Amino acid sequence: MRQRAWSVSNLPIIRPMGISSLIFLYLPLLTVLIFAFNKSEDATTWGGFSTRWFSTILENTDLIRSAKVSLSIAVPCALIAAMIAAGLAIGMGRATGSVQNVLRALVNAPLVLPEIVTSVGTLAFFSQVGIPLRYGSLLFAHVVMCVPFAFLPIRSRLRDFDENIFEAARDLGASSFRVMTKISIPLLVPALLSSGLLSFIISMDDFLTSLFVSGPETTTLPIYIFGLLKLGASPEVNVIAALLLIIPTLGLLVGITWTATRRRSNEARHQ
Amino acid sequence: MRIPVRLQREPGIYGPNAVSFPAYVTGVFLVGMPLVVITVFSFLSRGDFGSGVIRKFTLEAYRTVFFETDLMGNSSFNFTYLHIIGRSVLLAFTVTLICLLVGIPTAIWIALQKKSTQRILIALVTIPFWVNVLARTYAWMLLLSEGGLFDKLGSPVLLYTSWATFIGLTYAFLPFMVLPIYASAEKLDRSILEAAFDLGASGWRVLIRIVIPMIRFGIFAGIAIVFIPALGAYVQPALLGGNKVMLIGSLINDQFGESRNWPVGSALAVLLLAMTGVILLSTRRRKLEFSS
Repeated sequence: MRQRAWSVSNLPIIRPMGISSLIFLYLPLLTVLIFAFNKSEDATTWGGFSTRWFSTILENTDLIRSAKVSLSIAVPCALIAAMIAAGLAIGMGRATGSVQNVLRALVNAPLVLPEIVTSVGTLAFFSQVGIPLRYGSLLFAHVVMCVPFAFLPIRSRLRDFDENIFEAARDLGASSFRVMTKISIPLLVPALLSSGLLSFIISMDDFLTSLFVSGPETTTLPIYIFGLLKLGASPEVNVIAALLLIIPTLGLLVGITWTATRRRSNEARHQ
Repeated sequence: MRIPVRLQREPGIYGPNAVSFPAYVTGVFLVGMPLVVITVFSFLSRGDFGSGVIRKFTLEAYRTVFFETDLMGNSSFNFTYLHIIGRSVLLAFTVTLICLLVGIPTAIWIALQKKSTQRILIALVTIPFWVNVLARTYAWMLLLSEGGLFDKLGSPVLLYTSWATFIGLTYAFLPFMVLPIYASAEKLDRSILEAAFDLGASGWRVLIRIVIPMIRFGIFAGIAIVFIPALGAYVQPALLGGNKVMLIGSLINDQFGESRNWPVGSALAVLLLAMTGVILLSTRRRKLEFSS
């Protein structure tokens, strides 16, 4: 036995700092949540509990319209980005060629470049080639932004599997196409779902790219909300911000619970 | 290496190579081409009717950014743009520094918990990152505004000052700092820390001489993914800073929007791109470098 129990508290400032960061991260979110149920006309003064402002936003047609625009982009964007990312992960295999490295760096660039650069670049490119700023151009601007994120869960899932499975199939005479349809894609189903969810959230949230690449008919939810926020705090915005907070969080919690139960049932099956 | 080179080159391990093609096409056309186009635009002349460019080579855009010419035709440094760039770098630097000071202990704290607690804490750090950036920024508008919580607690009203921008950026990027550092701190071997304590090292000494060197790659990654977006930030300066203080992100936005000077906007974007490149190269994993 050790004479002296060792614990995290032996390291200085670690615990107080960690707890303070969590408070720092959640204090603003909780404030928004609480003030969404504020009765008062004044956005920042508490005047009792009420859900009255929730009903007012349902009557806001501009808000609903922009939410529909955002959904009409985020849903196909999630599907296309997950498919493209899966294609990249599957087709690339373990390739290490320098041409492929350059191509992959380009695909991944939206992960590391400041969004202002890629968005003005996309605007300049579309205007130079003569592509009008409509639905399709915005959709594809969103897709390229989501692909590198969608790629991550797929790539890590493929890496988790024993490569011998794939080698064995090839040795037994399966074509690479058959390997893909019979092995890779079925194995990737859960990863494809997380990729889709990830892309959906990123597309719904995106502000800068949409700001530059959207036309008059494609005002997305974040662009509309940005306009509201520039006017300052209001009870209505409290509710909108709270919804923007609750909806992805719930989605995420469902996703996490789902993968956790899956993992547990998988582990149970393997035992 | 366990896998022979021949096998590594063998095509189609998970499926036909051709299925990568759509990703490469979008990468080349929608990521590569835009970067080429703004680079080219930065060397062209401004369009007659505001937006767009004329295909005439010139260094005018870069000259506008760096120099100014007075009525006599004398050139001198133009400090307006340089100030904006310098201020953006300083802000991004400060945000990164505070994120480091808060993020490193937080990540280590999480990594030293039980596995199940770790999962919960990491989910807690990740959730704010998935909440719309506008909602997160708005939360600070609510806290920092006149009559807001901080005002009621007696703090000065910080909304529409650079302090608000700074707080908003730190808040937005703290998870970016914690996650990569956690990823390397998670692999920390506790027995090494224990050994150091048993041999009489103080807590600070263990932290600075053992823990931090062991998680340095996570720290480098954290620096890069906080500094880069902080440098080009647009939303927080616009909403929390009230766009009172120009930063490089709002400046680029302005050149492509109201000022309608695409070449200057492109030149600024190219400069931002170059700075990003420098940061990425300098924080890249260096395998040969070991701390003594």
